[in-house]
Amino acid sequence: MLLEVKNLSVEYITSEGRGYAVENASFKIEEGQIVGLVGESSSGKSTLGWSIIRLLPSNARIRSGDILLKGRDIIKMSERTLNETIRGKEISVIVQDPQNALNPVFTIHTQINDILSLYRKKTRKTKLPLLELFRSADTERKKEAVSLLTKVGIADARRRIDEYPYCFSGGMKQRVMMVMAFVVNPSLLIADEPTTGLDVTVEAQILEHLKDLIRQYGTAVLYITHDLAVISEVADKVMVMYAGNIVEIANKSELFDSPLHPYTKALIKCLPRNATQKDELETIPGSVPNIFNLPHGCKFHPRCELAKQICKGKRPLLKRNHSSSHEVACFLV
Amino acid sequence: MPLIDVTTLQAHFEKSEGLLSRFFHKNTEVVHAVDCISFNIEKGETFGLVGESGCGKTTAGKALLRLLPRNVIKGKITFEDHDVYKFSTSELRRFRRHAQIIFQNPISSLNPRMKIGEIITEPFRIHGSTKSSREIQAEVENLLEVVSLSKSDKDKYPTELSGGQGRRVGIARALALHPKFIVCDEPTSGLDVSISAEIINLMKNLQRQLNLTYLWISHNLRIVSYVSNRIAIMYLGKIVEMGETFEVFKNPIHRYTKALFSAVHTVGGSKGPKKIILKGEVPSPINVPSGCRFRTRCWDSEPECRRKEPLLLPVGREHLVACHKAL
Repeated sequence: MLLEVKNLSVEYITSEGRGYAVENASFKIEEGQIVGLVGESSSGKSTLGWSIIRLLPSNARIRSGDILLKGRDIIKMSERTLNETIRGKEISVIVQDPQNALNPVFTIHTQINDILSLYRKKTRKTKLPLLELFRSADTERKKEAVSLLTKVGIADARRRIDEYPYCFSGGMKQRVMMVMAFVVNPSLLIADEPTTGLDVTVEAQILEHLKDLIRQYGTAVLYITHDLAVISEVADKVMVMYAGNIVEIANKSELFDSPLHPYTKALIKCLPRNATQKDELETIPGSVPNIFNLPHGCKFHPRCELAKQICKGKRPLLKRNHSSSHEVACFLV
Repeated sequence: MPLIDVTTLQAHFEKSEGLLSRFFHKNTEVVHAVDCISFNIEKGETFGLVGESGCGKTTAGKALLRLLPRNVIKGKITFEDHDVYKFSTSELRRFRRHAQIIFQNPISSLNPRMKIGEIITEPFRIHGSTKSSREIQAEVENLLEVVSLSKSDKDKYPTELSGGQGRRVGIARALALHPKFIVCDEPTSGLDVSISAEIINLMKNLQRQLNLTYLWISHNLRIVSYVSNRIAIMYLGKIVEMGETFEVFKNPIHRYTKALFSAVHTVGGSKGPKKIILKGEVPSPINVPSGCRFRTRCWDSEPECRRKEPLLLPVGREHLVACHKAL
């Protein structure tokens, strides 16, 4: 078991009040598994993702739960241990706007080199053939960086590596981010909406490269997105979040072929399938609740057409349904 | 007679140069945003304009509404058979009542210092409505209801709204003067799936009730395929394929259209048809490739594609393609 999250709750403290962005989240990620985390705005998916490496805003508090990476409790770790062993080492991150993640005043080479030299220092690679010992470490690292950039589809990488981020398009910056994330050989990659906002054809390219890198390095991935279609492309297992709760977990094919939670079903129905569909799109009445004013009982019940009395009183917990890999939080299933 | 008729529309922007380089007569670089495109839009239809970033679709939409300076535009655009770029000031003002736009960014297209009620009242004021204040307020409240916002939202500022709410205000503002034609620039981008579905249903209902004509600009192929009657695919300033949506969707001919459609993921557990992954990046609109602009990324290109630019020619009933290998 690579990652085990148990009963995680995260609260935000603001001038408007306090509210739980994530409530009682429990799930597991195996080695090399790609887990998709799907949810709309205010579902808490980003908060959940970032709490795994404890990079939450200062007004967020982890109120309860355990986050175990290979058995080690991340919540109990000191900042120093987190920085030295987890962040950018065991767990890497790629985010939505690579624009803001790359330093605009340093070349791509400098930024990749920083990571490579830090990483090499940590692992102390000592076995080198005689010839390489005489080459400077810098040259070696540059060669490696160029080869990685070429592999993710950046043409003319030898010249482009000395350019600044502003010379790169959105898709290319995202590729640089992917190289920087994988080169440290992480056990887990947290990807927070990495292709949202990119053109469809660029997204297709990025996802292909991402899948190649995942295969090559054997990294597990927590892929966070609102886009169900991308999830069905990338993930092995899918988790659906609503207003801070994980409401369904299932293998990808099971989730799409037989979704159980009313919210999941509604979400799938909202997508227009193709040009032949002429009837009105399904929508979900009402709106996502404000985290400062959550409904009692099941958070989805005010918008659920199946809601019964029991749904208004108690919060449903995630429970296994029939197969061991399909869990759902609903009283009526 | 189509409502809008566009003939060989061209929009070229000169890249701004520094004072010194202008003095030394350096070759000014030109961005070929839109290059000789022709199409028409029938009354009551939704015409989809599809393409990725930088293809020129937003520029084309703005050109139709005369939201671009005259020196940038070449070609002819007519609205109800009148040349849009030849309107006098008063004719232009009348035109603006009938041809509106819903901007891409839902919040920043609203004046942050005006309350929602004021934003929706503004069109009435600008166009010198003869209605009394009370009548206008009643209309504003009615418009808010039409777009499923509440009366209390009248007193909010744009920054207090969510993306979906801001989009609805944009729609209400565009509808205020009962236009005939609306350019919808990425109306659902950045919105959650369920909100997106609501906005689409709303716009389709309004179209039926008010007999509106839409130019639906988007890079979201799935949604555009769903809403439009006819569709045009743009690449680097050119229309590469155009026709009835169902026909183009069922039988895409241009290689770029094929790649675009294949990149749109099928939602579901089973694996869809193999995706076409294009190589390379979109060339710069300053230095467009000779001949066919798509040839640098096309897996089927031949020497002729470099020499001659393909014309947009019919390949079937209501289906045009610009490709030397179309037939």
